Amino acid sequence: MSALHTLQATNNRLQADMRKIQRKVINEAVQFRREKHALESSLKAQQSHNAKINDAMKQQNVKSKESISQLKTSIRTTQDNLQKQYQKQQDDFNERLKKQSENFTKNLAIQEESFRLSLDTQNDGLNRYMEAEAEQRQNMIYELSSYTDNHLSQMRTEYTEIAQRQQFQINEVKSDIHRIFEQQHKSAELAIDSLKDLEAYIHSLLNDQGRLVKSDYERFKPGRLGNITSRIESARRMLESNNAQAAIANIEVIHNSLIDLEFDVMQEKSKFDNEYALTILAYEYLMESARQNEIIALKGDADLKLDEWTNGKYKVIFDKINNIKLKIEEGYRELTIKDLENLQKDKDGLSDELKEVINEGINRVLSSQQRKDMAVRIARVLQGYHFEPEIAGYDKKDEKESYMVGTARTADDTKVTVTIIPNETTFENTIAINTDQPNYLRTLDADHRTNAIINSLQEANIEVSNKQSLPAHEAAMMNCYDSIEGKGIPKAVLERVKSISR
Amino acid sequence: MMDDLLNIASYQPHVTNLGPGKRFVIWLQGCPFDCKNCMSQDWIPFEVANLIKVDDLINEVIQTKDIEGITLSGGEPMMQAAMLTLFLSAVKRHRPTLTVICFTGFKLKQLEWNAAKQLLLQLDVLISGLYVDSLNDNKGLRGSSNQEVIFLTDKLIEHKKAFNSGARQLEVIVANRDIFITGMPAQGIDLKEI
Repeated sequence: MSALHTLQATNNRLQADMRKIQRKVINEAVQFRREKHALESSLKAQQSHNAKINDAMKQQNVKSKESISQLKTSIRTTQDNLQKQYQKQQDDFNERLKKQSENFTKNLAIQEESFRLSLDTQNDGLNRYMEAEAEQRQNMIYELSSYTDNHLSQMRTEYTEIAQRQQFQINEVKSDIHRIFEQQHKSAELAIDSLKDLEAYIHSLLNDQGRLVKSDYERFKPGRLGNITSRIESARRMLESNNAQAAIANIEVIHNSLIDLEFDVMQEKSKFDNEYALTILAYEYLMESARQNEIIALKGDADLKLDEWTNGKYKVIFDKINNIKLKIEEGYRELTIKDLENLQKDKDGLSDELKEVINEGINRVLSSQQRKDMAVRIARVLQGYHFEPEIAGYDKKDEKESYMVGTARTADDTKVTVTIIPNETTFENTIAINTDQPNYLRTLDADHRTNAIINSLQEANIEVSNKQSLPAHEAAMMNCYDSIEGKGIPKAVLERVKSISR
Repeated sequence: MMDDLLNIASYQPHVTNLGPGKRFVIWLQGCPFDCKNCMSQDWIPFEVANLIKVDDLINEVIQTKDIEGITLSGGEPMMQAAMLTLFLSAVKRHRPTLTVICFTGFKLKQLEWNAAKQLLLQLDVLISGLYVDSLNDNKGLRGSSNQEVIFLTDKLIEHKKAFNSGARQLEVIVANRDIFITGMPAQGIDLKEI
């Protein structure tokens, strides 16, 4: 029963669903028909509308054709009218031109007539004026003629008196000229003699027959001799144009100039010779000084060979000085006073350089000897702690290098190496004590040993400026930290920083 | 010729709580200050800790991937300013994007010596001033509220809030047989107990 009910219920639901579907299909069919009808109505309306548009377009075409025809007619009419208007304007213009031309001709005739009448009137007035003027002018000529006659008569009298006075003066001048001619003759002779003397003098200068040679003039006062001698030509021309006095004056000036020049050149040459001698001497002294220091005698029998102890610097400075000296000796003819002054200044620099080289050599030798002394003293101190020397000597057997002493203590099998290292700039020696035992420098003995070494060195007047007894890695650590200075940093901090600063 | 060395207490390549991102942190050995309850007592003495060649440390940083920057702490980094300047300038030539944070007990105006001035040119952020335990407010990257966070460049300016008042983290790093505790501890925490 239950299954039947279930089946019945299912059947009812299916039938209800079928009805719903049928209603839906009917509704959709009705809807479809409505839409179809609406589309057909719309199509008809559209066709009707199109037909109306076609009619309207046909009518519009007819109207357009009519309008075009009317427009063409209108254009033709307008063209005709314009042609007529143009022709009329042309005719009017020609007519006005003709009238104006006629009027102008008439006016011209009237003006000509008027001008002619005016001219006749003026001519009459002018004639009358000119007659009166001529009469007046005639009167004036008469008066002027009378005045001129009188004036000329007076002038003639005065001129006669003046001419007489001038004749007298001319006679006096003639007498003077005669005297001058006589003097000129004597001056000319004098000028010729002076010129010959001057030419002979110049000839002697140009041919190295005087106290100086020609090249001295060019070297010490270049150009001046040429300027002076060129002025002889001018004196010669003066003589040829009978200007003997001027020629003599000119020759005197030239002569004096030559004497002045000779004096100036001699002075300059003397100054040069002095400077040259001084410069040569200075370099000779410097060379001698260098030679004397090539080997320096030390205490005992030892000698310091400077070139060896300065790594060749002595040879370099010696050659430098020698080369300059040779250049000076060969350069007597080319060098100038300025060159010599510069060479003397250079000599001062070379002298300082030589001193530095000598000092370097001495300092290096002293530093080397000190290294050995220090090493021996330190070795002795270490012996007190049972470190016996095993090896000693300069590194690479070069006395300029570090001095090393190797020691060993057999009791605890500890090796200690003392190295005295030179500073190439300050020539101070640094002591480095190294060991294969890390605790060597940390034991209580370390400070004791260090103090003993310092005391021993001080006994030999060797100043110990700084001491560090640190293992190598602690010394390296010091290089990590900055040296600090600054405002406002607490004192305690600065003190702590100082204690670890390098 | 002696090598350029840094005396460092320790370093860790990937620390996340001493500045933005993962950072290569270097703790320098030696500090001239005497701050009460300093968290790094062992790193105060000026004694040899780890003498590391500057060149080696440069290579170490350059080869460490995935880091945003370097943090210098200590100890007192400014005591080794000259060597740190060498180190940072070389690192930046290879890794110019890395930022640098530095903790110091000095105030900015006290950093007058040349080496310190040179080091400042390499830094992006300076956290300056002494650690004062009583002013530890448990905030930000600075240890105590008197310390000043100074942005020397604007590269890390976006993290300003985190520097001044961000939440703190402690990071425990176990490396070989050592345990490192990094970051800013809160007041009263006994790190030795941790």
